Amino acid sequence: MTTVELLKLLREMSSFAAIWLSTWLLLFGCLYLVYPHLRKKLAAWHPATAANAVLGLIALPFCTSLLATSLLFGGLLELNVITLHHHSADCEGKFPRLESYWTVAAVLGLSALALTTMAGKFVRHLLAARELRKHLMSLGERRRDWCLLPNDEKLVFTLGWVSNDIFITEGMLRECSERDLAIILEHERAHAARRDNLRILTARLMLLAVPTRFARPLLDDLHLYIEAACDFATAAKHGALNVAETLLRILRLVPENFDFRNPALVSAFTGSEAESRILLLVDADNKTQLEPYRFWPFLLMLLFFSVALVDPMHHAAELLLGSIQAAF
Amino acid sequence: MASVWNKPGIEAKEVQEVLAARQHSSLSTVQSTLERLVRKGLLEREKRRHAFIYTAAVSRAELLGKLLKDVIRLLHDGSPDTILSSFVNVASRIDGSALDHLEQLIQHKRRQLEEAEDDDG
Repeated sequence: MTTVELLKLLREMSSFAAIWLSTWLLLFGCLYLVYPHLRKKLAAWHPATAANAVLGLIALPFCTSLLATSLLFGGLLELNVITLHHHSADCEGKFPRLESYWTVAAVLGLSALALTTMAGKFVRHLLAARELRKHLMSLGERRRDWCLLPNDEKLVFTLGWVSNDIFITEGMLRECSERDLAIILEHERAHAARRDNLRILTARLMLLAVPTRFARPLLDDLHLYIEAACDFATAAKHGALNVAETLLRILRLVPENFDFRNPALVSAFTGSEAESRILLLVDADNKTQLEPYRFWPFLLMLLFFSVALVDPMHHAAELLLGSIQAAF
Repeated sequence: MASVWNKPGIEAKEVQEVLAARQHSSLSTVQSTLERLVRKGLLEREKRRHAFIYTAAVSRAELLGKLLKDVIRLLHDGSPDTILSSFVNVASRIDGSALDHLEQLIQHKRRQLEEAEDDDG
């Protein structure tokens, strides 16, 4: 590859990054405004359907912006969907591009920095969890598919990403009946079978560019419906009201004397998640699960939006990139 | 840590011998790991003749207690929620009266279902 070709590629990459990111944030802004109205509909659905719908909504700005930007730069649809303007009929090959190399360096540098920071944070969490799991496994006692921890704290949790390990403390086990334990283990197995950690990871990746404050309502709802979907999967075997009672009993055991280091984060977290799960279980008879084929219109909508976006994106991108260059 | 708990006052060479049954680690790797544990405050060391001997500064129970405090803190912060989750969110504490109300709701629903079953029967 010659230097000229390399510089051309860098210009295109930085232009692509700037347009994709702006479109992604703009579409997420639209979703953020509409979401409070959609939330009411979600609550009426079966939690497994609602969880898929929330994940689909989270994916919509990310996928649409990526697809539309790719179409814009791919040039396949330009002649058909882009209206003629000051390039006259010569729009082909004239997709918006950053011209100044300083701007290119700044955009690529900032993108690389943001990506490295976010990837670093994720890897740090992953390694810390791996280390924690290793230590807990060595201090605990392995039982069939869970691990007993000799401690009086009342806790039950899963740790892991692809394969989850379930940990239960002796303090919690003392308070649990056999039925409670069976329900807890069934719930955790449902998480593993549904690959919920992978769903949450996907959602987090698709919200990487979005400030946490704005992403929080969607992530909180995804968490709620994922937990509720596992409650419902458990309820199929143990009965919805039995699961609700176990939830309630465990909720009464939540550690009360823990010194919370970060009250701001605690209050921002889903304080009413467990309450909502119990209410959903009590109303379990009235929840309907949609078949997967009902989500096909979602994919068609994504394709339609992506194609429809190419023309306004072309013109808006010229304006945006012009402004970025003027700012530098 | 398990080697030190099992034999307080153990030398690095002895730890290497214990570990040899499971994995091969060079003496320098074992020594640097032990030193790291000393720096973390988990081990104490003392010089005896030409070698250091190591004893645990925390018991198994204390270490487990410390790790579980970390688990609770992580569950509260919510940041590593892709890898750690609890059956009931520790951050979702509800006051006693709300829990009582939920309990009444469950009992009410149970009675309704029982009555419906009786009617069907």
